[in-house]
Amino acid sequence: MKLDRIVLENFRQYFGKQRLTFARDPQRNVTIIHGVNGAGKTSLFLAINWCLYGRAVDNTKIVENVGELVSKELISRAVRGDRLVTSVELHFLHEGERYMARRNLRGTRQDGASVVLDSTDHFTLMRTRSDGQTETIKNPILTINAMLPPNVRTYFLFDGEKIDEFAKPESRKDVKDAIYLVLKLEILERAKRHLETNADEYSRELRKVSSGELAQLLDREVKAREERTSDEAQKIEHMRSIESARRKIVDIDTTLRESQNARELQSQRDQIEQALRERRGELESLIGQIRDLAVTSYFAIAQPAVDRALQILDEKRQRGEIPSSIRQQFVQDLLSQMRCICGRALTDGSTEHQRLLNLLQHSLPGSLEDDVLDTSAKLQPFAERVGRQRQDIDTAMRRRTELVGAINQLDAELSDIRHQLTKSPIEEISRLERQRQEFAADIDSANLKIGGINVHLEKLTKEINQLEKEIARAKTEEQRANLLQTKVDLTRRSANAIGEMYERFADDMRLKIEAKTKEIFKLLAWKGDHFEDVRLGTDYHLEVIDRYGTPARPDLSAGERQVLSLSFITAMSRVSEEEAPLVMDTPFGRLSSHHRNSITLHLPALADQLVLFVTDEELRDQARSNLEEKIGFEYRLSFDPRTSCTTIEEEGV
Amino acid sequence: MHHERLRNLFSGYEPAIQTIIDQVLQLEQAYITMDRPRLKEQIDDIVEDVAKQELGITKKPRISRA
Repeated sequence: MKLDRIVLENFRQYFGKQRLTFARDPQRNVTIIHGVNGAGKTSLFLAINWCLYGRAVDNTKIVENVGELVSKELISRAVRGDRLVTSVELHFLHEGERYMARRNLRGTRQDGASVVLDSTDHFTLMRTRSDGQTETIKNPILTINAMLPPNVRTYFLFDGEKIDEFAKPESRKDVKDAIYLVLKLEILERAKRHLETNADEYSRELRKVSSGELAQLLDREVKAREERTSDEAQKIEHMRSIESARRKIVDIDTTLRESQNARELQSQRDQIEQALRERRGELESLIGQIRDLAVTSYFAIAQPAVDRALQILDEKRQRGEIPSSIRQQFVQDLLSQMRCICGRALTDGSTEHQRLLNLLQHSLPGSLEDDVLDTSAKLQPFAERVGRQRQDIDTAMRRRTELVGAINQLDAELSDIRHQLTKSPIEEISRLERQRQEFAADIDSANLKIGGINVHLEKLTKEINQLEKEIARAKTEEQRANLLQTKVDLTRRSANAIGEMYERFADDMRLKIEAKTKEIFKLLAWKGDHFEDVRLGTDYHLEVIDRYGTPARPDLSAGERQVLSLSFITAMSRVSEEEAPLVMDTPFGRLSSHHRNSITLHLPALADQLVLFVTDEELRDQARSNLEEKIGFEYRLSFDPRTSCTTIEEEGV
Repeated sequence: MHHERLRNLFSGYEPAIQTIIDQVLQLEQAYITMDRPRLKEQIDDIVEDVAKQELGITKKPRISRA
């Protein structure tokens, strides 16, 4: 991120619109903002922070009191009910693209110079695309977090007098946090942890869905299909046996028919068998009819209720509570015409007229009248139908008994014929009849087996249909299991990859920061060779070693601690290779001229962009002279005690 | 660029792993200010997309914006 321009509107002591452009030229990358104490340096510094991050981000507080952001001059000039707007607009460049962030806060002027602020401020982030078109960023907060997170900003936008914490003995955690955040070790660590959590979750789900059920179901399906094929083959075999036996019986019957001694009996058998086929056909048809009658006669159960309903309707009709099929509309028509149905005129108050009025009073309105009349009409044939159906069933049952008797009689006659033929004195006839009976027995046996096979086939078909459904479901689950297995594999390998690289990367970064901090500290610290080394241990302990080889940090002055911290911050910025401005409020307040001179000499080359909020006392003589060639823009914050407002004035314009 | 350096760190791994790491790192960066961000579902979206591509279930490429 490189700052380009800031526009303040009614922000604290900056009344109206105030603009300031930041130096971005690599040769002149320093922006100096002069201001005496209280002129508005810290307010301007706050404006940058508030614009990017608002009043607070999660646990990081940016602004202590939002109410103090609104210009007091603006409030004083407004009257009760006026809407007031405070805004900061920050233009910047990031990774070659131009952005504009704008945050505004609105409120309503009340009595007594107070303002009721709207519940939230409004933040917009726009990006100018390469084709010159501007687009609004949909999730501006996450985008800013990706560019310069608020917890990282403190290493780039800071108060120079308060940055010595990295150089304090108890600063180990601060140093580690800084490196973790700026060098993105934190996101590596979190990514690894979160990927592992997801992998554990996938594993748990996988255990639930991968039961090997599909393989078992497929095995069962194969077995059921094999069984069905075997049953069907057996059934065909039995049917062939039946066919063969029937053909042989036909042949025997033909031989017996041609035999003089058996012809008579065989002829009788032919007739009886024909009669038996007819009776059995009739019996089968009759049983079907009886079944249909039984199924459709369920309403016979309702007959007592139907009879009672008809009785109630009749009673009500006799009492005149419901019309005896006379429509309400018909009575109304007669009354309006004052004419009887026979054509005779009606007189008011006559008996006929009164009768019609009574009828109208007791008639029912609209659809209810229709329902009552329809119900009566429908219930009458219902009772008749029940009676008819009962008679039909009785007749069918009697016929069934007759047919069963006839069939039994015919069976007995056939049995007698069989017996006579078997006992025939002619050996050939007797033999043929015995053979015939064996074939008939074979047919009965085969039919019995086919019946058993049919029952089994029906069961198998149902089982296969059910299995097909279960297999379809199990296949869906197996696809899910495959997906889960792949997800487990990918997340575990990703987490492992981060783990493998993390240690190497973290150590590499630590060593680079150590080397860079040492290099910068040697440049900035005026004591030069007195400090021999700067070390950043594996425990993130930042230490300065003096020429005697002993730790020198406890002996560092406040200025030297500030220089060490600045060296560390600048080293992190360099090592991270992130393009970020270095914005320092009161950078040299506590520093002696030696340090000021060395910092002003070297810092512009160590930062991509340098913004310094200074008092005149901080930047003079050699320090000022060192920066001269690097200054791109220089401003003075001019506070007017008469208006209590500050204006931003460019120096040398 | 530090982001590029991080990406290059994983260049030796297969593309599917690189894609997941790159996108999860971007996600973590976006939520870095939160102490305990809840990213399970968003990470699942990333992983599921890559897993489906690996299994040939979807051919839609996930466009990575670095």
